[in-house]
Amino acid sequence: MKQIMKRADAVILIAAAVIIGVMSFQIYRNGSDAALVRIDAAGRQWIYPVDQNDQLFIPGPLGHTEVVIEDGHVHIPDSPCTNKICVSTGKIQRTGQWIICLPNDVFVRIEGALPEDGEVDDVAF
Amino acid sequence: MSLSSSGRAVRIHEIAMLGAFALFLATVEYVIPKPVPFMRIGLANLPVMIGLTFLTTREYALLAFLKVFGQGIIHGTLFSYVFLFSLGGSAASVVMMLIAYRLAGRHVTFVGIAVIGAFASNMAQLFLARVFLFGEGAWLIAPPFLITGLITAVVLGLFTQQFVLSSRWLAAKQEGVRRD
Amino acid sequence: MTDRRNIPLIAGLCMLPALVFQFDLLPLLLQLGLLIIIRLLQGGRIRVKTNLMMIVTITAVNLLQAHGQVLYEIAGFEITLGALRIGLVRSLKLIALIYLSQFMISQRPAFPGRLGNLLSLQFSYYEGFLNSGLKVNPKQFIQRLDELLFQLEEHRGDPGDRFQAAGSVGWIPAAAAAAAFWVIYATAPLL
Repeated sequence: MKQIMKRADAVILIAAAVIIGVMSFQIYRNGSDAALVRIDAAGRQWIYPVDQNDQLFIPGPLGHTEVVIEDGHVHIPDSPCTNKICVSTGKIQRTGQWIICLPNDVFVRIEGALPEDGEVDDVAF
Repeated sequence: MSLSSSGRAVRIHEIAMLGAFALFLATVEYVIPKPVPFMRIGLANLPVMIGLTFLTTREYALLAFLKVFGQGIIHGTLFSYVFLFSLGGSAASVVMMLIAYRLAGRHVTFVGIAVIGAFASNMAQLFLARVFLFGEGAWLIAPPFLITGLITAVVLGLFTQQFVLSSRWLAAKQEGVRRD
Repeated sequence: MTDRRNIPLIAGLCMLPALVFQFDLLPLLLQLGLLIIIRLLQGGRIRVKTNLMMIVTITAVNLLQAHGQVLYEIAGFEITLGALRIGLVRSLKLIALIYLSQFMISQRPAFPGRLGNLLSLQFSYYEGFLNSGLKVNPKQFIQRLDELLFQLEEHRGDPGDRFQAAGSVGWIPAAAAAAAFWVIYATAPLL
């Protein structure tokens, strides 16, 4: 312990720097990959993470459309529309997939965390 | 190593003194303006590292207890989860520094010890911050938090090494241990 | 435990769960308000700037995880109602917990046992450090520190407790504060 720094100190320091570097890389690369559920309804918008279970009641002109996020899937169990197309769509889970309830003006889609991914704007109504 | 009862009383005073020194440095750190909120220098680890050089494992654990609880009482955070951060960070760093010092004390200076301690403490605190304060966003602040922690650890380690090499007080303590 | 110095400690322990398990913003604000009033009555200070800084930082990090209705969009970044609420609850709860904790040990409760004695001894040395006027000055800092350590060792502080405690608290106001805390907690669903 006579010197101010020894070779082992340099090794520890470099190891710590490398661990932090690798972690930072992982964090900033994967951090933006988390998928989101984006819901548009009657001019308003909601965002929820896909990986957190949730039960939502989204207000539309006819009433509340129920949206359930469960184990990475999203589905609409019930909606106050007559044709129930949205209910029969079933579960969606991949980025780019969507469910729409035209009568109640509710549009549910899964997207990456980065808004500039682009595929959202390509969806034709 | 056996201590006479008077020797043990002296040792209790030394532990209390180092603990008080840690509190004093924590108070100093509290007052120093910092560029980033939540940035810590970890000044209070100086006495803890000094303690490594002449305390037994049990005494060292007592010193760690004094550092954490004393701070909780002085700053009034003992019953808030700020205390959990302090406890978690200190426990992780104290254990890692003790292991590093006992295993590799000959080959490493306090720069290395401080870096190991800071890294352990910061990882523990990030984990707690994720649970209590920041949610998943905690990982996004991890890189700047860990990098500033690394830099301050090197500075603190250099200072500790300087102190350990030149302090006459510490030399007297270590002499005392050898006599016992 | 009938020591008057332990009154805030006991009252605070009763109040703690009502704060820890509070996840609604409005009742949390009421509880924080009550704690601030207690602190001011005891003659304590409220650090507005520090608290604001904590609220802003913690809330900002929480906003990164979008959750709930989109309120605004600033340069591609969306601020969501749910995330905003979570951030505010987390930061305000932290501040409230700190004030509650400070109230609990405002009378310097005596901690029992050998560890309690060791803490008292530590505090007497701590006072020695505070009174030493040691400046954190890089010039000859180690040398001056060394001298101070020798000096403090000679004047071994007597293990007393010379902290000036904040305004003392009686059983009745302490119980009233604890009761008010739980009333706020229980009526939260009605707010």
